[in-house]
Amino acid sequence: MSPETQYIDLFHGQRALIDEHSAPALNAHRDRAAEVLANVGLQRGKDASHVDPAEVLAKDYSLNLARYEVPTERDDIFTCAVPEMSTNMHFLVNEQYVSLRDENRVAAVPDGCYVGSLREFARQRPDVIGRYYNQLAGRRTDTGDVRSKQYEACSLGESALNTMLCQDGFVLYVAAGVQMERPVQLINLLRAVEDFMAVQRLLVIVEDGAKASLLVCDHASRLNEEAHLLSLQTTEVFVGRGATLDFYSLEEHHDLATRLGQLYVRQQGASNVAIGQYSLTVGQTRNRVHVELVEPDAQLQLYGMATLDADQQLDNITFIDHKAPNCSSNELFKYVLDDRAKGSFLGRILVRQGSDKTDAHQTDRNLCLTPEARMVARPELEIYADDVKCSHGATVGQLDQQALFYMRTRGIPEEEARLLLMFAFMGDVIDGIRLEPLRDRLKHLVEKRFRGQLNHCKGCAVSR
Amino acid sequence: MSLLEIRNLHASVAGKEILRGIDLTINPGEVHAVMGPNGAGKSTLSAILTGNPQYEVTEGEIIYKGKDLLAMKPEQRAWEGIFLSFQYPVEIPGVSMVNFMRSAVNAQREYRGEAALSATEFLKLMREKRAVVQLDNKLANRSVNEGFSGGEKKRNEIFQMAMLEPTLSILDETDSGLDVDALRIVSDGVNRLKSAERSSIVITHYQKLLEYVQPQFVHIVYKGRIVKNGGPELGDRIFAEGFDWIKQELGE
Repeated sequence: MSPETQYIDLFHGQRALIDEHSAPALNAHRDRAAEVLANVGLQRGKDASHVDPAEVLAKDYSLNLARYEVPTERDDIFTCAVPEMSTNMHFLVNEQYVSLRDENRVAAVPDGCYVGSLREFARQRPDVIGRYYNQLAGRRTDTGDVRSKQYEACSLGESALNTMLCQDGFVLYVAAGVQMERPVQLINLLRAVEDFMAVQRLLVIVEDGAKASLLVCDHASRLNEEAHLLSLQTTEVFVGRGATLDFYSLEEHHDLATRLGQLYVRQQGASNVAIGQYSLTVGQTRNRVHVELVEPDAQLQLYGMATLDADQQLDNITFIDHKAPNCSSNELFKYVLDDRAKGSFLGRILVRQGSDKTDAHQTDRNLCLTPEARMVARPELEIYADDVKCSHGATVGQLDQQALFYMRTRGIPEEEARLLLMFAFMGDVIDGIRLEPLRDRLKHLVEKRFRGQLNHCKGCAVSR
Repeated sequence: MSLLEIRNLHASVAGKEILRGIDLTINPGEVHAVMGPNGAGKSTLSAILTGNPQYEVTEGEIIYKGKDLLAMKPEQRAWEGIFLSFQYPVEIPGVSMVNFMRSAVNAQREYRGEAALSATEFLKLMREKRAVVQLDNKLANRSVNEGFSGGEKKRNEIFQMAMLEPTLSILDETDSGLDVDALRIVSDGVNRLKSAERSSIVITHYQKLLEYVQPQFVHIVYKGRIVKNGGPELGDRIFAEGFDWIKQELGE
């Protein structure tokens, strides 16, 4: 039986239970999602990438549809206190929003805004959910016959599976004109003693003229040396006219954790968005990012960084769709691959007809530290407008042997010289982070990571 | 005891033999000039002395301070006081001069059992040594050699030498590409480090540097061997007549 059929059968069998523990505004999307899953199917085959969603999902994971509370030692997650970073700290344990009710940790949310459980929000504000939820993840493709179609469609099956089963998650809703000065931090913790799939759903809405920043930290706990954990994480982000959003995601998973992430972003006119995906440690991860710039003068900075070793596998598949004139996008991805790690960067920029004065740049640079490490880089541009400024480029290389020798002749030990070079390599992708405390913290974490001192998933490294 | 003793050194790069039996002894406090036509093996000799992994020693030995130099890693040689001023200094984007120098100085101190310098001590040392070669502060704040002019790169080499205070410094065509003023600054930097314990090997094509640093010994390298040894007068003759007379003496 195909994994699609298996999950659709499960859905029909457990429909009442799923609905009961969720909210009507979310339940309303399930039937259509099941249809899409049946029609579109999960992404298959590895092509240039390494993680095959259909193969991942063919494994028999258990789900927590009855919403049993996950026993969580408070210390595991609640000791996180990030000085300067955020007092707006929120938690998803698997897919379940965990309420903190701690005045010191959750700052008051401005009037008309919401930060918290998707299920609660869907019950309180079905009107807002109706306007936004599943509008990007449940889309029909509209690229027509341009070649980018495959990029547009490539994760809709996984997102449909998410929509079909999702019961809770996280919402950041910033009403028009509200400036949230303090960053919001969401900690996602995978936690199970057996093979388990968390169906995580994130919804971020920053209305016209509003401003917010969000840091999402993904962790996987290791309660059992054999339990495979899967995070099926679908995130939809809406950024209104003249609105600003910084959206950073930091992944620290372990070798038995898999992540299938789909991030959909829609930017309206003159909005300004910075996205950073920082993969510090992963098991198997496939990140798909899809950003649409739908009105003029929108600006996007999309950064990604990965430090991979052992047998870790990471795919970043990005699609930036310029649908309006005078927008800019600046994309930069950097990987350092050690041991037998495998990575891919498949990046497509589409500049549609009429999107004149587009300024789009894409760079992907990678270091393979061993002959066994593998990197696939596919930088792609597809342009249907004449008056544009676009560039793309990718490199896969090794540490500069001359620089290494030069440093050693000055007495810098080889290992230290390698670290300095690796760290220097990541310089620009870290310096581009607009949240200063995160930038400093990440520098520290990346250095620890290269030194092999990063303590995998004993809580949130950002806050330690 | 001699500081450095090279015995019958043969070396090759990518399977091609470049050095074919070099013998050279250097005592503490001596300055030796190494000259020779392009491709004779001068830079290969400096690469071998510093442990460049691209070069392979096929025969012979090098004794430095009574130890087997060839058994040491490049960083260990640096800790033992060997320094090479590169003919082509390497640019290292993203690694600041400050971090680079701090790592180098503190690794050396650690090897000698000394405590790491505090940030204040280190910056003071940087300032002091920068003045020796008149290296601009803004260069010291940049990435290593990145965006430096040719002359700035060479001055940066001597700055690093001043920071590390080597026992044996090798200047590989440090004078090439320098204007007269820069050459004087570099030479002054070299001369300041002279002492009864420290020795230098100066590889050069030009007279000017030798006038400044005044070597006691001059060696002519040709086709991978030292074919002639002499004093300063040998250098003078090379500058006056070139290498042809040496080739003739060798029967070529």
